[in-house]
Amino acid sequence: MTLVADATLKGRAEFATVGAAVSGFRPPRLDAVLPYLLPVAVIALWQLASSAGWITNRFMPSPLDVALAFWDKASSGELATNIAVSGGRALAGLAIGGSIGFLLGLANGVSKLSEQLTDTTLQMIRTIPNLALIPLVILWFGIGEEAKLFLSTLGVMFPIYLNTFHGVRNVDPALVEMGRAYGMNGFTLFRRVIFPGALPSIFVGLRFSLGIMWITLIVSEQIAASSGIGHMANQAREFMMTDVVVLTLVLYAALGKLADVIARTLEGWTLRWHPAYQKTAVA
Amino acid sequence: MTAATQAARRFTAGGRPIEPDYAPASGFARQATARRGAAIRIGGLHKSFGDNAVLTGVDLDIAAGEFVAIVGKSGCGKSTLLRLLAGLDAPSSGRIAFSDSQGGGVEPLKRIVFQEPRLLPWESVAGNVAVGLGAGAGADTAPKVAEALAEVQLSEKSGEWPSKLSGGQRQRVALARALVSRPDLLLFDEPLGALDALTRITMQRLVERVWLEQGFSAVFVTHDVTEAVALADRVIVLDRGRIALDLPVPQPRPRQRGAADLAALEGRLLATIFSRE
Repeated sequence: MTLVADATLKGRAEFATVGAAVSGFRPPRLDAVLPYLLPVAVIALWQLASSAGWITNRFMPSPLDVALAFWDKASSGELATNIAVSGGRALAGLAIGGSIGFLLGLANGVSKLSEQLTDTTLQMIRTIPNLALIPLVILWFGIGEEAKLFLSTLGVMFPIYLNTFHGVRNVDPALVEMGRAYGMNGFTLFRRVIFPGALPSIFVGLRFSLGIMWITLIVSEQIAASSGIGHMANQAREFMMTDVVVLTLVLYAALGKLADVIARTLEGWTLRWHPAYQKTAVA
Repeated sequence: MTAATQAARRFTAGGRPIEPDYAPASGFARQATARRGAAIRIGGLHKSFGDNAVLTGVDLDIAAGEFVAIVGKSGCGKSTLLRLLAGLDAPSSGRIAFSDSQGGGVEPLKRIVFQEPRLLPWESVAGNVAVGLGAGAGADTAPKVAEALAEVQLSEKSGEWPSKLSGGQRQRVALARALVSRPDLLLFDEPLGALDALTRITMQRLVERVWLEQGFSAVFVTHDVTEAVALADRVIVLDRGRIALDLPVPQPRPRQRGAADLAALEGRLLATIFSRE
């Protein structure tokens, strides 16, 4: 190592430390609280408006009513059952649609022939809003689980397909050539070079898919279901139980956020080699 | 007589008489190593990409354990020649034959060091070096990797991500990756071209040191005649797909950078490179 390169490195490290010191001026605890400041303020204002009688409870329950509805549903066990049912549907759709999208993206990314055979068709199907298929799906599958699974599978498939395809295509060809020159081929090349190279893009697809997964699920559960969060909301609407309707919205928000947090944690762990995911780099 | 000259002589016994009129570098730490590099015989090598003829008849013999530098202007075909040697591309016509230092016709273990390090960013430094072991990676991977990293003086970076290293360090990891399998032939494609001038000199010394220690054959493509003269036993000038000059560098090692005799050789090389404009 030359002195010069060492000095450069050291300089860089010092620079990074200074940067961290400047941005670390705020106590870190505040950083954790800050994102939730706005939601809490909105809820407080909402409660205030409800208590003061500015909002009619018949149309919009107060946060306290929603909390009570939550307690009511949770203690009766209804809530847990419905969350489990909805969660199960969501995961099944994600697993099936995600796998199909991933495999197609991979095949089309690696093979020109496969791309020519299927990509145009997939792009055409993709442009159809999957919720527009509901009448047809009900005719095909009735209103059972198959219909919901079909819709969420279809919805989840495309973001993962597109991003896997894009990710595989954008793996640095210089790295692939290096792999081949060092004796990698077939599965080894895929496992050590192509898949890790495509992973950042695949995660983008996964996070898009999670969003679509919830939307599809909500709609299909509200149209035809005898269980699940959507069913709970639909039933509450018929009995004008606005507190339960709002509760289901809160649940969707919480579950969506939870799914995103899990995906991000997974992303952060598998991509920890990436400068953008290294804590010291994000000063 | 060194093994290198013996190997060179052996070539002349059968085929065309290409007798080198010099003795490759001897003495200085080399006698300790058992010679094990690959000997190369290139005959009538042509390579075209479509209508573009890049190599137009290259004949070249490289002795086992020899260090040959290839210089020339951009587009002279030097990188193409290296890629053909590496097996990354196939020649349009002509042949490349390898043999070991005993003259046996075996497929040598070849490794290439590219201009960019081409490290896998998602593997640690040690993981990247282990790539060099290829399918031969087994239970003794860790000690081999540790040894290769020690060779390039990066043992302490073993667990780091490549993104945390400087350019020179990354290229040293790439060198360790090439060395870890103890290759018979090491191919360098302008490996130091992207480094700053001082890191470059350090790297040149490193390359020379490991070559002296390990005794592989080396083909070193560069656009820098000073670098070529500092490192090589022989410098080949390529011009429009042909060999324009085959210049031995008999100076003993370690060589004094900027010495007058080396400067004279540089002058000859540059004169050849620019004479054909």
